[in-house]
Amino acid sequence: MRERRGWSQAELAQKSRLQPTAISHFETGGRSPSFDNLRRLADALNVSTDYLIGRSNEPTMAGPQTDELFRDYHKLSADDLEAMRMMKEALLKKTTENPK
Amino acid sequence: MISGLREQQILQCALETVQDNGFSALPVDPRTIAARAGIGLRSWEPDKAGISGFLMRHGDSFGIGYSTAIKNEGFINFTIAHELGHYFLDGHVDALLQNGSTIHYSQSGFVSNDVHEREADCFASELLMPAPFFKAALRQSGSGFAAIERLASLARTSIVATAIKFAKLAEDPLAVILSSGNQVEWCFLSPELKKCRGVNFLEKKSFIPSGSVSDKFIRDGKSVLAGDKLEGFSSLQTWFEKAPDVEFKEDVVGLGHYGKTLTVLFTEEALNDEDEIEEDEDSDSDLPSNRWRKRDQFRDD
Repeated sequence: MRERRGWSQAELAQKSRLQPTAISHFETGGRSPSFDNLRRLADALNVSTDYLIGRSNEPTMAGPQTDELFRDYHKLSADDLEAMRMMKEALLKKTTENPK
Repeated sequence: MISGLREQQILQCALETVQDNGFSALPVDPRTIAARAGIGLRSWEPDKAGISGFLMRHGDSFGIGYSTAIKNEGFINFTIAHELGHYFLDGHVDALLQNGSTIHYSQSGFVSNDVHEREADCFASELLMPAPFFKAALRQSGSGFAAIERLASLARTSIVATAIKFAKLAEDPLAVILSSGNQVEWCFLSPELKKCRGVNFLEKKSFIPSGSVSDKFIRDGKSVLAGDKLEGFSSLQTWFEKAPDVEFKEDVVGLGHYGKTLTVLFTEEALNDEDEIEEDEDSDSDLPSNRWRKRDQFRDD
């Protein structure tokens, strides 16, 4: 995607506010990006994070997926599930209002 | 286990996050950091304690949810900071995706077997109590449990999380020990105490030594639940059999409904008495030649 834009690693680093060495590591697989890194790269490249992580074949937000990371999974209660449902709705609304 | 190199990377990532967000002293507000990263925060109040928090991604939008079941500002701050750890640390995207599902989960408790949860805990501790800020505050906070209380109040962190940081960064010989009933759950030693001959980490489930202030405190079970405090003195040898017979202050506090007890062993007196080194070398040939030898030659974290 970077090459398709005709950008050098240094240019992408500058646009995404990351170190050029980090871009190199991500491309060679020497280091994995964080969610924060992914988001910056997606913004700079004007593609979705789903596309960058290989969950979508389309660079734009065709059908965003939801991921959850949380502690104490075994304790998940009905209240917790409801809280997660509400968060998902809020994020869906935000994504819909700000499509890429 | 997190390797020493990985721990340094995590601490560096947390410190950079703090500095990028313009903080230069305690307290560090994780809500500000989340807001600046465009991460929405939502709380919920369940009828009973369940999960403490979660990080959710939907496309390019992120949100952190946190439970208010435990009404403790320090605990809630740690939960938010922990979820920020999943967001800012490299490798956590892979952890989420490698499950083949959209859910990555872990067990509760301070010591998690899941390395990514431990990494997020390490990040959270440093985010809320960055070493440079914490050390500066520590030097003005006095000693013992009172210092931990002051620092927890300043950093808006829990007593337990603050006690662990305190032990790691204290310049004096000091140990913090968390016990449940009359058994040790964990023990952290300050760098200065680690150098001391005969001092080792107390093993999990080892018994609180009889004759210690903590032993006296725990025998009265009501004190633990009531959140009482007790101060006294113990010999270092009481806790660490092969350690020198040096008097340490011992502050003990019950952590209320958690049913656990926190012990702080400390002294403000220097331990590197040259006379004692000579005496020790003469009295026991099995002991190392340097009484206060460097621990990293012999032990691992």
